[in-house]
Amino acid sequence: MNVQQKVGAVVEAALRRPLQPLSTLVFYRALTAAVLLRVLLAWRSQAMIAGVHEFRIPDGRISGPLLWPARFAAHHPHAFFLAVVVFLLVHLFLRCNYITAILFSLLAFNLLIFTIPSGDGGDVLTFMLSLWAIFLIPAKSKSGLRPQTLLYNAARIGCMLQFVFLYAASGADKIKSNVWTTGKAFDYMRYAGGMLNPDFPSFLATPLWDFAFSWSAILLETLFGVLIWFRSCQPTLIFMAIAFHLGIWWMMDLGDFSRIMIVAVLIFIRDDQYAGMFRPALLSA
Amino acid sequence: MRDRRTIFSVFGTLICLAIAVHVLLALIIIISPETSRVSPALKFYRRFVVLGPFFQQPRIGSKSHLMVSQQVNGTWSVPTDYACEDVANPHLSKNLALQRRAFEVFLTESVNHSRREADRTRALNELKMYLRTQERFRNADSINMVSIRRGFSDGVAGVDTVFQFRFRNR
Repeated sequence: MNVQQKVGAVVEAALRRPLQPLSTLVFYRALTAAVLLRVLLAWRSQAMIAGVHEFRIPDGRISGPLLWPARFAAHHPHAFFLAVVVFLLVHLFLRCNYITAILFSLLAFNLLIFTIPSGDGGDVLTFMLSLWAIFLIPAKSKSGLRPQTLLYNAARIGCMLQFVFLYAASGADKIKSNVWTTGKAFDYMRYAGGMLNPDFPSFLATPLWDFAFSWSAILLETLFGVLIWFRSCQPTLIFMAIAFHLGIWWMMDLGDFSRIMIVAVLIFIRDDQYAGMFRPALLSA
Repeated sequence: MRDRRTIFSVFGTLICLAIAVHVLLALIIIISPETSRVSPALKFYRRFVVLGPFFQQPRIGSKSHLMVSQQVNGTWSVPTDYACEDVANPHLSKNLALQRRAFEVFLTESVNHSRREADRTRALNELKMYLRTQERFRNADSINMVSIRRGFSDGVAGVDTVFQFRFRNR
């Protein structure tokens, strides 16, 4: 089989069969739930911010209509958040279609703009995942060649790559940084103040632990993008990534960022792994 | 049927090529982030596709803090970083305290980095308004805020005062 035939076979398969539909569904629902939680947790503080901060939201020919919700939020935060919560609840429980998926992505973009004064990198990741997720709508008919299925598969790969690129960029930067390779990064953060959780136990704040945490992060971030494509490595890497983000959440108080990263990891769990996880529970019920 | 299949195959091959280009551009940014200055496409990739890198050395090396003191009946209180104190206070909502601290840092950094005087004044006024919304300053006659940057510069630990501003609360 030459390269052209191989590409043809891959394309044909990608046109016929949506990859891991259960996994995609779990990921999409989790993404919606994460945005809902983000909105509920940001409601009070964003309302306060809207009271004192003058938002400068672009109002051009294209940006005007796209960012209308963010401009509305700047003046009526409570009405905005209420409408968003209602939409997200509907989106969470009803079957998705392209229109609701586009609205969801638009909402994520407006939230990104509106929460800039108190947001972090997790909001950009949420928006990018929601953008890919527009195409994560499986075709209604399950037979035959479907361009919709091809777009779905490409979007699924896009979501995975989004996560892999983020890790690879962070890993590459850390490996070049003397502060990270020597484990002094946490010492720096402790001295600068305001970055680490004040409740983090002091017995875990020793040079040995700092070194171990630094290298755990470097190894996970650099190796994840390479090894995640091998079936045998997937469960370990997924487990390690989730543990890593729970650790960041605890150590650095970055709840929003960690939540969306954990949601992003879910896309790497395969349908058969979900079946394996839940079958025992279903059989015992 | 055959024509349809050919069209789909071309469409599919184009998407495969697009994914390959997508990976290639991302790899360029990952290996050499400074190339993002070369073209708008690479700049877009740096901003939205290859997110991060987070926790870079310059970012974790130092942090902005706002030390606030208030004058009540002619006596000044000790300058305190209330935003960080609130995060450590178990009796307050941690989520709210974290969001407020993020906003305070955002405003302080806006004052520090504003190039135009009008932007600086605007950020400073918002900082004043933000402090006035806090219950703890309700009885203050005057409020004094000092923005400091604590951290490492060229490997040497230190604290720099960035700006100081005093205003009447009533």
